[in-house]
Amino acid sequence: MILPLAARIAFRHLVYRKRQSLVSILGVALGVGFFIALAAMMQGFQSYFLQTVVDVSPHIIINDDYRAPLRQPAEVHYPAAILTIHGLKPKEERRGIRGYEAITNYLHGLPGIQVSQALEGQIFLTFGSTDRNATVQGIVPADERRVIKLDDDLIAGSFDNLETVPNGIIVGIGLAERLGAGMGDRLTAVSTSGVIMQVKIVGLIETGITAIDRGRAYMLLKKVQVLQGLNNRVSRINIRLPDPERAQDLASQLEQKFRYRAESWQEANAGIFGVFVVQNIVMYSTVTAIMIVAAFGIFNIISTIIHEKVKDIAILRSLGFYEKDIRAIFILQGVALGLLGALLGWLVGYGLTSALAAVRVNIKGEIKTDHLMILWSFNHYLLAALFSLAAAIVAAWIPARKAASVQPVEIIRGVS
Amino acid sequence: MSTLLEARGLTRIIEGEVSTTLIEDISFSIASGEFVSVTGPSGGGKSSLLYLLGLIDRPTRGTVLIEGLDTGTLESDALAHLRLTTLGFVFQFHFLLEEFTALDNVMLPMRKLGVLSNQAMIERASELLAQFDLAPHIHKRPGQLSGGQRQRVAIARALANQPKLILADEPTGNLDTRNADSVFAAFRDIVNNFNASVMVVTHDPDLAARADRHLKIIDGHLA
Ligand SMILES: Nc1ncnc2c1ncn2[C@@H]1O[C@H](COP(=O)(O)OP(=O)(O)O)[C@@H](O)[C@H]1O
Ligand SMILES: [Mg+2]
Repeated sequence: MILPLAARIAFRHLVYRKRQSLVSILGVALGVGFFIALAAMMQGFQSYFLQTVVDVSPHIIINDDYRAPLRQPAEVHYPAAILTIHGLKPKEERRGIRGYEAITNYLHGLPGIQVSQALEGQIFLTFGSTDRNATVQGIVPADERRVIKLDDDLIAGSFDNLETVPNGIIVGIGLAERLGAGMGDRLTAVSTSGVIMQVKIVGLIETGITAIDRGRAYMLLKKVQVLQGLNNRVSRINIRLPDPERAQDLASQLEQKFRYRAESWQEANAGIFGVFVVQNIVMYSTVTAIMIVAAFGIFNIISTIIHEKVKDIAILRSLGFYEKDIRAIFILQGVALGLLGALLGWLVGYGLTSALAAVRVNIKGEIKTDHLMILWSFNHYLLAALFSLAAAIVAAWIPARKAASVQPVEIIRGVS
Repeated sequence: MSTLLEARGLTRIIEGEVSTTLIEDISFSIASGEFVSVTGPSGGGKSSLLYLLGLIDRPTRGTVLIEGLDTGTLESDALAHLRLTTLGFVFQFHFLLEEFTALDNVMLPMRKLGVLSNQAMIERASELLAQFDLAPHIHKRPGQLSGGQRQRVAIARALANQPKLILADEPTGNLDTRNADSVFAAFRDIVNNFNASVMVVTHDPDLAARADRHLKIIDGHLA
């Protein structure tokens, strides 16, 4: 029974100060609205990026190098000795992962894991009188497809053509343009180890990244092994996991077991994830600052009301209202301002987010898009409302406590 | 007649750089259905005494018993509850809430008590206001009423929960003779018809003489 009465009094106070109430509601609404729009955009981009990374790239890549230099036999045999080895000339380590079958066999033994291998090498492509350098990736299309989104960048032909057309090659669109070649044209490929091969263009790719489009080519793994004179070698093992979150654990396990550098997608993207963390900190700080300003607005109006209404508080107390009834009146005002601000803020946030979603951009590259990534999430709305309500209640609580402790006799004595 | 209120050795000292004694060692009692008037020079401590009897101030020494209950031992909420149910206060200034209509102001204590239905509260509040010739004004706010009308709304509010004792501190101080007369007539009516007690402070000897008993407070003492 008392809550409706407190609400009645609280409501009357606010209605009598329409403009001031509206300003504090707007303050909260702006905070909530900006939070919602910022969160939708930042999380939209971040989760899109994450999804792209997880979808498009391998979860772990094992490379043909080592994280630390190989330990010298002397170090292995005399670990306690103080030993300096001078003039160490690295043994001519042939490129590629030795014994990659052992690694792939081990990986195939793990449940749900997809594996592909690739050998990378430099070739020289000649078409008519023009020639260009290219980095050729030797792959097994069927395996590769299980690990990454192989076909997304393809604009002509098919990766399966590599299997069906003898000596088929797929080249970047920029590379093809520079050679003046197109689908079906025959090129001469010369590798760094001097092997010559006639190849036929069976596909074109366009990633949007100029360096890749101008410099990349794909052939079958076996053909590249022949070109490089590296039989039974690969330079990369790509791994896809059923649970991408496990990549880091497995990567360090593989690195310990096989010594080759194994990089998880988290490690590969550590830089950008660091940027995300900073972005989020900036977002939350901005919104916290707006909320603090909004909370001050609420604190201000409620303090003003209490100051003006100290006589009324004394009356209510002398009529028999409890301290907690008085406190309730002013906390309710905070709740009302916070709630109205949050609801209005939802509209502001929805409007801003829609506006951002309508913005047209032209981004090419690893991420190709014509619009901003927006993540519509009710959680943002909920979080913003909870945040603003909490701020409003705290802002109301402080003056409300003071109001409840008003000693009516002191006020009444002062007036009469 | 049974004792409704008893003051025992009431003393109120305000501590400060110089301590001020507002009330010193006052003892008396009020019976049910008794109409008591209080007079005395300004600054003599009449208001201070009423605040103590009305349980909105606590005595430095001594105590107030209401229907035999020692209020000195009660917590803040228990005192508030006694003010709500047993006491009715009328101040020299009307002290109405300006955002609320006359009707809503009178209903405030009823709503806080929460015993009656909304309809019953509206009926009772309307009746009380009608008793004080305010029937045409129940939906007006204090700002739209004259001084006399406001004071009568305040008296109606003091009566809202059928208190056993009305404490009125110079309720007619700002009223003309005609209005002052009607207020005192209302007090007499309450005492006669509802067996409630009234203690009223006034400067007017004629009005004071209309009470059953008359007290005089000088320099914080009962004279
Ligand atoms: N808070 C206070 N501090 C000091 N003196 C006070 C305070 N309140 C009232 N007084 C003094 O106490 C005396 C009694 O005041 P009051 O009870 O209002 O007398 P009355 O109602 O008879 O005019 C007055 O002299 C007044 O100035
Ligand atoms: Mg006085």
